[in-house]
Amino acid sequence: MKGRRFHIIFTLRYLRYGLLLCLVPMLRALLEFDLDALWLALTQDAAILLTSAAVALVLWHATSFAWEEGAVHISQGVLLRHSSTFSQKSIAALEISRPLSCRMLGASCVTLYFRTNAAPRQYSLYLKKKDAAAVADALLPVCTENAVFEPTGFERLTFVMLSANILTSSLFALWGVRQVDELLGGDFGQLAVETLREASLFAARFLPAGFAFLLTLGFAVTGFTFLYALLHTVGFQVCRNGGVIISRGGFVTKIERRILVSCVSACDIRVSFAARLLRRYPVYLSAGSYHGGDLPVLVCKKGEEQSVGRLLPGFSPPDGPLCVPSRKSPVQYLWQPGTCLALSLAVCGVASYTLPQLLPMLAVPAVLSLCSLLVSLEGFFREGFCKNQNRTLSLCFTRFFTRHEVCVLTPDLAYTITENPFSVSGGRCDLCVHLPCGVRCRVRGALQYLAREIPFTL
Amino acid sequence: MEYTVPRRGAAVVSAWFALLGALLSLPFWKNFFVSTLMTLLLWTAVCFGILAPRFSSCVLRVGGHHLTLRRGLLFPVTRRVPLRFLTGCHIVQSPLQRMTGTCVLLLYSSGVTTIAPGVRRADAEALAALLTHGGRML
Repeated sequence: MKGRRFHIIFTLRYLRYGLLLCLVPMLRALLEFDLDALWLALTQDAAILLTSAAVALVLWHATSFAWEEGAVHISQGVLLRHSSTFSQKSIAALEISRPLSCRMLGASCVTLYFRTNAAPRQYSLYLKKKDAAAVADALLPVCTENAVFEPTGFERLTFVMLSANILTSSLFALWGVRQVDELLGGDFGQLAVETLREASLFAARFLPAGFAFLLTLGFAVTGFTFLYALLHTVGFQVCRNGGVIISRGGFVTKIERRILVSCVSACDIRVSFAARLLRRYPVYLSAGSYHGGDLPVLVCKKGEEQSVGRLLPGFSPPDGPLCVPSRKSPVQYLWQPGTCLALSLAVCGVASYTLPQLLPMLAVPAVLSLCSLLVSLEGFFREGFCKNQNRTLSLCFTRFFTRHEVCVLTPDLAYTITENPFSVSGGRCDLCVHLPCGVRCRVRGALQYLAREIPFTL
Repeated sequence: MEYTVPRRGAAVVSAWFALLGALLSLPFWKNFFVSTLMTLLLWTAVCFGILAPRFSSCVLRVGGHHLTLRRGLLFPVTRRVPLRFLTGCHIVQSPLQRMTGTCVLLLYSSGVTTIAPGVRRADAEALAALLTHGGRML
């Protein structure tokens, strides 16, 4: 088939390096601090931008791709040409994302995730919308669509709350403020900070001053996070057909993910603080180098984890007990959060008679340490692993404030067993299971003789 | 089949860590000569007194279906990788390692890279040949 070019938006990938280079003359002009230096810096920046635009256009012109049934061929480079071919057999998942900038120009970004480390972990193509759809159908074709999960009403609200990710939303907010500043030319960031200060002053009428600011900031971040999650999950739908799981959704950025069921390596049910309150658990899938993304594929009710079997027939809840708590060491689980809690309480104790006005603020790390201690205590009773009848592996481990219940469906795993003199005497070890996507599942206080047997019995 | 790491291989790798420490201490020599010297001596003692025995305790076993790497004396760490999911291997040799006949062996699988520092070059090549000719690597 004749080669076609990537979308022109592909040139932005190289233009951003030119933008970074523009900082060099600007820094020099800032140090000299006069008009002649500024004029020289602007001239140099213009030359850098024009050169990088020309280079980006030449590279774009030299890039071509072609697809046929079951494979995509990509050719890149000007002086050094290199060709890549990605066959359908090597693909575990693909993602078509259309952020606002791409949608305005009629482009899509197709990211391919591979099964093993023999290929690159992922590869991105910037194509026209129709070409992206054609490439996705060539690699992971979809025949008909029957929705397996399409949240509405209260389920939609719980899905938004469980999909909220403070870290992603905060980064997106900071990037958005910077973009608006550049577009409008005003100091939008300064305006946002002043508004936040006004709100905290209002809260300080009813609450201690330091605590009022923390609460206002937490409220603003949480509110923005939920708004971001709401926009990110508009029209969310999960279907399964022809051995492919498809999830679609999004308002500002439209994302479609296709995951090959036979390549799914693990199914992770995450029990976070919000999930416990709502009694709804989000389910994340990993396949090959695809590690699950920022959105779950399903939300199941507490006690109905077997509903995941609608998407993954191979999914199995644990066949037996995961651990023997009487053989574990409580010190291993509790020493870190216990130490943090003791230190926080000691600081609160000292502050109660020296700086009582700071007590509400200092109570925050104490509360967080207490929550961490409770999660670790739960981990003491629940962390472990179990080999199931259908040759899958069930794992349970805790990380920060979340309990992960993982069903591993692939034998493509690596294991690391870590011991110390105390654990050797007790017949215990720490078992770390490395999934193909690079995620590590660490189970503490596992029985050593069972951990050594896993690779030979799966 | 079992491969071990000789002491000279472990010593060369430990020397890299000691050299790295020496390079990082360069900015501090002028103003904090004595404390920098003491810290560097301590770091060198750690490299050759703790790291080197740990590296030389490394044992690589190739069974019928699995490859097992075990290292450490007081704090043993065992890594197990199925042979059929090993996707590649890499043998890296510095000039000093060429003189001592040792190398660093990297084994790639889907989720993790296993590193065996200081292995004999001949052992690494034999292992690579075994893995390749056995038809198990892609």
